[in-house]
Amino acid sequence: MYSDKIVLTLDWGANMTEKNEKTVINVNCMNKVFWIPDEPKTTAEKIKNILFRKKKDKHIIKDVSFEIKQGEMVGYIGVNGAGKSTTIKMLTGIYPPTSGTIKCLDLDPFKQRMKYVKDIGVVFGNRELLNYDIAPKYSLELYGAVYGLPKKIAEKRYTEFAKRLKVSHLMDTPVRKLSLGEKMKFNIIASLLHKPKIVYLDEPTIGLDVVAREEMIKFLAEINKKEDTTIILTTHNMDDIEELCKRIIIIDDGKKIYDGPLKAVKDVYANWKRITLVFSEKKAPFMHKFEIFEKTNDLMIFKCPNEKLKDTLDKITECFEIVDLKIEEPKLKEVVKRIYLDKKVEIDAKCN
Amino acid sequence: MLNVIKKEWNVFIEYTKLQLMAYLEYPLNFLVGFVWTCVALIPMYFFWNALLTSGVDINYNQTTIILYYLFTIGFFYSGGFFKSLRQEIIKGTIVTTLVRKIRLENYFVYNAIATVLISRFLIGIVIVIAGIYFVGLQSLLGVLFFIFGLIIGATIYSILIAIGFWTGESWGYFYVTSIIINLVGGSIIPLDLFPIFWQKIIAYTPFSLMFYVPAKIYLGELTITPWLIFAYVAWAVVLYLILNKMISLGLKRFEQLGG
Repeated sequence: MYSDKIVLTLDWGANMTEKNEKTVINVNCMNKVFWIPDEPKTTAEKIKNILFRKKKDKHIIKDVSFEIKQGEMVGYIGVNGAGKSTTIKMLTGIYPPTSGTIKCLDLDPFKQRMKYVKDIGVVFGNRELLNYDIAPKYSLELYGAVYGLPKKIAEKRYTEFAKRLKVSHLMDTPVRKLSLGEKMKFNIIASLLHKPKIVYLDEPTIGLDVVAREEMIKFLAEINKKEDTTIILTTHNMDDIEELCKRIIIIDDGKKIYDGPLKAVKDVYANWKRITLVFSEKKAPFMHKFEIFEKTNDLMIFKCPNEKLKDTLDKITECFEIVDLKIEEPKLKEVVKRIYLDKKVEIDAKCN
Repeated sequence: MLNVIKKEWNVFIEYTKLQLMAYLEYPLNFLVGFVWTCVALIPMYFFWNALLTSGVDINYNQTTIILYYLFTIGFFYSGGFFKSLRQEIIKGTIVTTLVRKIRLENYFVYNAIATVLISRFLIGIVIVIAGIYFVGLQSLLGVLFFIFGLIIGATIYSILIAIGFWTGESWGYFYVTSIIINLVGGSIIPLDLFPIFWQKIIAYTPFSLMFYVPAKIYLGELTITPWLIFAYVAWAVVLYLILNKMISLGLKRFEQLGG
């Protein structure tokens, strides 16, 4: 199983060499340690804490290294609290790494922020880029001025994007009256207005419905193709990036645990479905060798390999009086767990 | 250089436009601001009227003292005006500005100036009309110098906002400092009514340039000299450099966990 991954990773490497694209992001042994408040325990400590806050270190990012080439679309994924947003904030120059180096477009994002940010676009899924009280048009005009774009060019660009994302009719509607999906579309327009070389999207799909998510993904793929924009997208949902990113970086507890093609992860670590079956009656014995997650008198949740899915569904209809049937992709947490297990097997094999 | 100035001017205009649009969404704010000024003027009128009719000898008569307070209360601004800017550091929303091609110091100063200009616009018209009627056209210079003083005031408040990088929640010192600034800026009591010792000390600070000096120009009681213009420019440059240094140091301390 592990050797499959290596072959695919090597394939990926070969493709990258063939293209010989310029490296736009180079991260080397990046670490980030935050100071967080430490709860005082004794009364003396509590009194002292009023004036001198007791703090402790929290290691958020641990020795992360990677390179991203121009025009790549990379998914940076991890469960909540894995360190995705912290990485994006360091890559966008909001704060520096505690140790290690970051070079983006040959610049230090933190030290050369003003030079660097003119070539990047950033969308934070849970932070509004537009003024809440007024129509998005005015915020877009402001961003045009911030990047020194001539008014006509800025207007042409945001009108074109708005048309493409089907939000032209909302240009004069105050942001507070827009839906989450519409707001996100305008945030994306604002981040692309100045033709950035790199676009960072930090959880852009939070709260979006399927239609809005798909429209956004299609639009980003188009921009990537048309303008050769490098796109880095963070998410805690692998489905978000399936249509968008060929390469993914998985981060867990601040450590990079996978960097390679999404297909490899799908084929090797997510090659099964979670089937939730609710039934009223058992018509025939259900013979299987699947891993069972949960089983009661009228419910069964089990893991079914993708290649056996069709046969299994046929069997289920034969054996059960179905009340409800749910087929789900494995959760990212489960994928991460399997990658860890594989790494452990690899380390054990090396030790022996 | 000219291109940079033009670009920065455009950015400032866009921020002002944005503030105006946001303000127009709630037009009642204009009226509330106007009524607040009138209400604040009433006790001032009765207090100074009582004082002047009782025979106390100060450098003001009833008209000039009312005009002085119309100017300083009408154009009044304090820390409370910049609450949303102050909270950007605490709440972490500042990250959306940090990823844009704008200096954080300029962002604070532009927004602070725009906030005051927009909120004081309506009463500003009354101040201009009253000045022209009672003093003459030269009172317009007082309004112009108020705008110069506003650049200084906005930079001072931006420095106070930047302290938030170290202190986190900062409303306490922000409001206390704000009261002191208004006291030594001459918006509570005219500075020439202070004891000479304090007047001399305050003269060495930039605060008198915010309210007192423009108000005196407005009343036609202060001549504009090259030294005065130099004081405005010098303080604006010095304060901006302090702000610049504080922001570069503050950003090194800025930590914001999570998304």
